Amino acid sequence: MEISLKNKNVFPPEVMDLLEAFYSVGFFDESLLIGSWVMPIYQEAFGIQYVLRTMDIDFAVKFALSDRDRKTDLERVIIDLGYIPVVMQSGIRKFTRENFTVEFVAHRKGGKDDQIVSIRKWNITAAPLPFVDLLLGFSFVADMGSFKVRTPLPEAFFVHKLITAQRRLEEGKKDKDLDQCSIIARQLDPDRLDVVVGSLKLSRKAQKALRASCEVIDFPPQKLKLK
Amino acid sequence: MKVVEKDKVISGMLHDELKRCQEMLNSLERSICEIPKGSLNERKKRYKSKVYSYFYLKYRDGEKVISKHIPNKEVQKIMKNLELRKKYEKEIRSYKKKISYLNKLTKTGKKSGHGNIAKE
Repeated sequence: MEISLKNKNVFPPEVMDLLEAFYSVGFFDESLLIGSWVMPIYQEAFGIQYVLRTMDIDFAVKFALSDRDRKTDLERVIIDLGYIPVVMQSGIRKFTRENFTVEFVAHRKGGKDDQIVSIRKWNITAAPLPFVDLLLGFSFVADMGSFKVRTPLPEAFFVHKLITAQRRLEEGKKDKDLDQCSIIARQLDPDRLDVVVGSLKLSRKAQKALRASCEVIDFPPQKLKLK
Repeated sequence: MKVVEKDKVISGMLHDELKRCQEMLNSLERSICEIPKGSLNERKKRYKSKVYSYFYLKYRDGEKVISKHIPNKEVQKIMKNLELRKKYEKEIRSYKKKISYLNKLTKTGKKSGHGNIAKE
């Protein structure tokens, strides 16, 4: 699915530059913009209005096992934009410029507890998080005019946040996740939601998390095929 | 700061932002330790009719000022690293400023420093 945005200037210039640079090297062919910075796109594409943004921008990277893929030095692309690489305590490499941080996440398979995933295709490291494949599996492309950005469908973003909110250790992040969900819930497409929910194979723990989040935002769990 | 106190989403975001800034500042300060500091200077020496030049790195180590000779083949690398250090220092200043501002906003600031606020 591709949506052409009427208002192309939904991001501040520094974010536009970053997204355009990522697009130019083919990053959005498979990988996505995620986190609170998808909201300006959702506002234009789906009428979802959520104004709060964080000072970090997150990208979900598709993890490729094959070494045959063409390799791109995304770290160089980011550094050329004036960011500096910083190795965090966990070993993850993030990038910062004027308090603004660029970071990557990748899908974490169940049972693994690695702290870092090295993505050789892009010469970056990513933080492994659960259920990222849900975002990668249901995405759309936003046409920004001079470039395009791939982001998760709101329905996938919504379900992902509902599940992960309950796993948050920080109450602030949990509240923000559920706050975003309560706004997105008003604009969900029932058919797309059915497709996303139909793809899920959830453990009892994850189902419990979904139910708990539904209760907080007053969303009927039946719409997620939960009893 | 009534909005911060009343709205738990905004308050939570500000606390998260404070924590993020502190983590980033700690990592930046760790990273900068590995980058050489000081300034690179060129010294010229006359010997008989010829003029020779060499580079040295001048930096402070506690109360001592140290001048370290830099071989010609390492000059470019040192210059690049000193430039990088400037960027790190600028970023560190910017994070310190932001942390101080966020501490005021969240009203959890303590005079003792920047590293312990979010752990409360």
